[in-house]
Amino acid sequence: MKRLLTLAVAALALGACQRQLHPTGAGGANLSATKGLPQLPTGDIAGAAASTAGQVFENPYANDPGAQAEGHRLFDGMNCSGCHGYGLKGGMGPDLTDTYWRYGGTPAAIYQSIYQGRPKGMPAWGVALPPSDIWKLVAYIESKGGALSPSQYQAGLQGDVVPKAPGGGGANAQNAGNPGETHAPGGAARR
Amino acid sequence: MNGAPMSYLATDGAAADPVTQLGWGLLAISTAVVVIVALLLAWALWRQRPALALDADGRLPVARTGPGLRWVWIGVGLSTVALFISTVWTLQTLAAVRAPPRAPAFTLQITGHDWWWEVRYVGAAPGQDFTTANEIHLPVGQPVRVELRSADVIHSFWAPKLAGKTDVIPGRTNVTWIEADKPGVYRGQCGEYCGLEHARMALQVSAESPADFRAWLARQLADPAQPQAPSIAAGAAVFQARCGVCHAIRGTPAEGIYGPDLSHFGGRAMLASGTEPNDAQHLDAWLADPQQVKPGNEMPRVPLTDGDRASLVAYLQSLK
Amino acid sequence: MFRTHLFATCAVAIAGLSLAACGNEAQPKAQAAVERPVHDAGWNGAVANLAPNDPAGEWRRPGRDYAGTRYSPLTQVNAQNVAQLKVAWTFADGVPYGHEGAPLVANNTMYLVTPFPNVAYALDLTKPGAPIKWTYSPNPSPMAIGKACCDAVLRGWALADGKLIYNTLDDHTVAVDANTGKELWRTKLANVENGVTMTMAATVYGDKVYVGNSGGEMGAHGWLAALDVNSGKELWRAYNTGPDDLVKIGADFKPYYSWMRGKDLGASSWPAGMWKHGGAASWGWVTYDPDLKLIYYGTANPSPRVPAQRPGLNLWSAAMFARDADTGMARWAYQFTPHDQWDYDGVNEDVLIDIPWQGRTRKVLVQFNRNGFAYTIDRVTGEVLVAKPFGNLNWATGIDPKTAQPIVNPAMQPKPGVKLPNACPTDIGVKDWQPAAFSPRTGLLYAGIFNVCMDVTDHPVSYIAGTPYDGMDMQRHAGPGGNWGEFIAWDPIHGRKVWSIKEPFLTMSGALVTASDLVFYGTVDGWFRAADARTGKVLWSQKLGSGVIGQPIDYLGPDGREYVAVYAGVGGAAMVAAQQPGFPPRGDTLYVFSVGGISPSSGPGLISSQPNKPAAQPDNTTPSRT
Repeated sequence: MKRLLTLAVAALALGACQRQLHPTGAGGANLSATKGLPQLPTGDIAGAAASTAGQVFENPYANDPGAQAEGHRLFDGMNCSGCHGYGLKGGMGPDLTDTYWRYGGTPAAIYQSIYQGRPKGMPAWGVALPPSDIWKLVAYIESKGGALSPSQYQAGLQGDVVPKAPGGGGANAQNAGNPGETHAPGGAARR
Repeated sequence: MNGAPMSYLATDGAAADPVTQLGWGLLAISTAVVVIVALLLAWALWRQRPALALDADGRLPVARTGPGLRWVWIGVGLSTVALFISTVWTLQTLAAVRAPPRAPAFTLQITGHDWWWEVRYVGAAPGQDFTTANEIHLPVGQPVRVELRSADVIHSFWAPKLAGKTDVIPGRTNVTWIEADKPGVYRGQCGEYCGLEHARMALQVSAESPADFRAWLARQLADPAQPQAPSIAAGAAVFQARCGVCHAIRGTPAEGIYGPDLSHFGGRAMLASGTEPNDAQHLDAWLADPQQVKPGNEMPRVPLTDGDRASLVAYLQSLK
Repeated sequence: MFRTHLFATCAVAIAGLSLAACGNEAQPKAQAAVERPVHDAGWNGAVANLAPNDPAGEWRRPGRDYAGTRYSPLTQVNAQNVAQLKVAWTFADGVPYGHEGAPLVANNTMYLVTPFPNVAYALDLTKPGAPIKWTYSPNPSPMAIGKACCDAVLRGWALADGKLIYNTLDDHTVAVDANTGKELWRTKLANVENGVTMTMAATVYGDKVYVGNSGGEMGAHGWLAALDVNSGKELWRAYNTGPDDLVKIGADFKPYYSWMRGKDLGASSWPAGMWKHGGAASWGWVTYDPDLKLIYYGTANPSPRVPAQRPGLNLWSAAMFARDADTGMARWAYQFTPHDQWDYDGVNEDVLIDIPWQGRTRKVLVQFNRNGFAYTIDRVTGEVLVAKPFGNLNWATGIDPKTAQPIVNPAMQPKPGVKLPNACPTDIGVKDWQPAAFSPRTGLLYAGIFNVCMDVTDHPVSYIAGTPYDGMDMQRHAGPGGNWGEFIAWDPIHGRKVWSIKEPFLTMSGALVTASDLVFYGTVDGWFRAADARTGKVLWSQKLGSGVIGQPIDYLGPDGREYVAVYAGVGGAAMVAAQQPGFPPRGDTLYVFSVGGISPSSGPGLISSQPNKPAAQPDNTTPSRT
């Protein structure tokens, strides 16, 4: 419990740091030179303690259209669209517009997946991209509607997030990245 | 030349010289006209006319005879000749700058980005195509065809001493040409407001003898040597890890096209698109925080340790 | 006395013949020794060298023979009884990725390898239920899943020298003992972190294993390598782009057409340095002429998939090579799609046949290229004899007969940032990797083809190792007629379709043709069909548990019965059609058919295989060479 409180306090403090934004979102913002967030759990906490860490972190660029546009440019420029599709509907990698997230769908969890990489081929971008760029990518992904809001963090862990469309993400849920994990027929196109 | 690098009053290229001459010529004609008219006006103001006798009713006579009409005809005649000469001269100038007098030596494909210039040299065979940024080298006395494209908004390609402005318009390819008459370094500037850092979107055109140009071309096409000194090798590793996703250095695994191509960056005179001289001190300040040097530009502040930054500077400076 | 003897002999003979005519429900006869195929009426004169003429009841390599004909000499299943084919037994491997491979059968053992994680199974066909004899797990890196453009598939495996040899998705080639499953050697070919994977069927000719990489969408540098079959040691590696020494082009290299002659064309036909990530991977089929001692294989698309970034012919991508099978030195090459702008890989199978041509016999190869042209090429010299469209295409108006270069339709060239609507065919082509079959009885080739077009927009891309080097943004749709697939019979001498069966879904399965003039193929919505090879009349259809993208084979069981086997597990590049209503979910099952479904694996009563005896476990503990 004490550890969670410390985490929360640290989170709030860091959150405060990340408030100096470039007004238009264009170019690099003056984010503090963080090495990323403190470790977020991607699963439930053993002992069934309620996990709140995922609820605390918001995207400093949340709802910033300039950052979303920058994120769109980065998404194509860093070849994310090559695996996740130009419409983010998936292909080699999973659909980013459905509400199914193997590693968590809150902005902070998406940040961590981009920063750290993931075992089945998602590269780790934390070395190559500064935090401001990664947050912009998260802002763009959020703008496509498939991410969870921080307040949905626990519902996401417990399987209570209502899918966006019948079958979990429309006709796109079963793709090469997640065969057998989502329950809709069909699958995403090879990008 | 260095005193006024952007002055188009004295140009050094076949694409600009006719215009400059025409400009001075028209200025001379205009000045002459102004002087003549001013003199005439002055004379008219100061001329004393003989007093006129009043008539029986005490009024001034209405009709006046004098040589005024003659002056009108003289004026019209002189103006017509002057204007005719100007017209012919202007049309000749337009024809001269429209296309190069000889076949172009090669083509440059220049793409304007916010706020830098991507320059692609089209070689005789595809194997000799390569890309650089912000710095153009030309052989003296040979015209070069320039294709202009935009990656985002309207820019304008303008090297005043070599040619007039040609706009760079998204969705269109505009074609122009330049040629340098004598060796030297010519400064260019984006000539169409394109955003926050429009004022710092300069470019440098370096004209050299054909032999020097060929040597420069060969250096550009060659892969960089394997880094030997430990600090430079460390810098190469930092570049691959931290910079390669956006920047390219030909001959290394870094092949990003998001930002300017940095192949042979050490040989360039300026950095950040002509904003600052390319020396170790300015490069270090740039890498520490590009947003301080050119606020709002597309390069984010990448968190680097001091040691990483120093080795990166050493590496980039070594890429001659 | 002689007359009595003769009478007795005749009586026995007549009785024997009568018994033989009793019908196939009785104990099936052992297959006679390999017969010279008789030709059908209407045969066009094409034949093939069926070396190595394996035993008729076995299937030892995906293409069945060195020429890649996929022609089976078995005749038990024929036009009269094929409609009675029923499932005899099945085998599911629990892996959800696309099942593209061809099962292999030798020594009454069936050899299967799953898609990632590439687990190998040897099934004992002598026992009811075909129980697992051994399994072997190479434990490949899961990172490979995210680097494979088109699903975590494996297109086949090889049996040679007492070994089962195959590629793992994460760039290893492994060899295991075919009897025990013990790993004999393991060779690492590339680093999967760089976006290179291996999905092609490792192929063995003589004492060499030929393997190639995948990764043209990831900016890989394509190559074909030869490994020693005994030790796995890499003997040579020929790259598909770059200067001549890397491409193994030497003094013997004599391309037929002059535009492919010159020094270091694999480098100079690219902007400076771009050949290093030029793609041109070798993820398709390798066939072999044992008389000429040449191997034939194709190269994939150039990278990136945005042509504006790489002006030039981009040699040797979207092309094919004939190489000396021993040394790997190139003998000739031909580029199907110079400066490819639509992802028309050249990796499809080169089927080796001999045809009558203008009064004499020519040794040729036939390739149904992705670009929609079916080529008949002299396999000695590389001269293109026939190049005719076999499906719907609009990117070119024909092939220039003098240079054999395509005449590109200028309106169909994509420009960056501008949507090009209705370019046909789409990136997967009029035919993709799914291999065709050749029947020496009809002289025709049989193949599943596509009728799919795309709206494409190109976006310039950076090369970032481990990420796609791609840039093609596509929406695909069916072409005129609305059918996504079609199964055709093709005359390679005259360059024309002889018959065709239109299919609503993609036809991405391999083809099998038999000496009883049956041709088998499957559809992506799960239908497995048999048709008359002469007329195209569909004689039998069976719905399976998932879409069929595997390669059907047939074999003789130990009971002398003919079985037809095919995987049903949709995936692979067929996922481009996943939005089609009715597209099936994934599957993982091998179906084995026999006439009437009769086999030792089904019947009344309690049948089981070796109760109380566990399947043999392979010995993976001794370290093997890397």
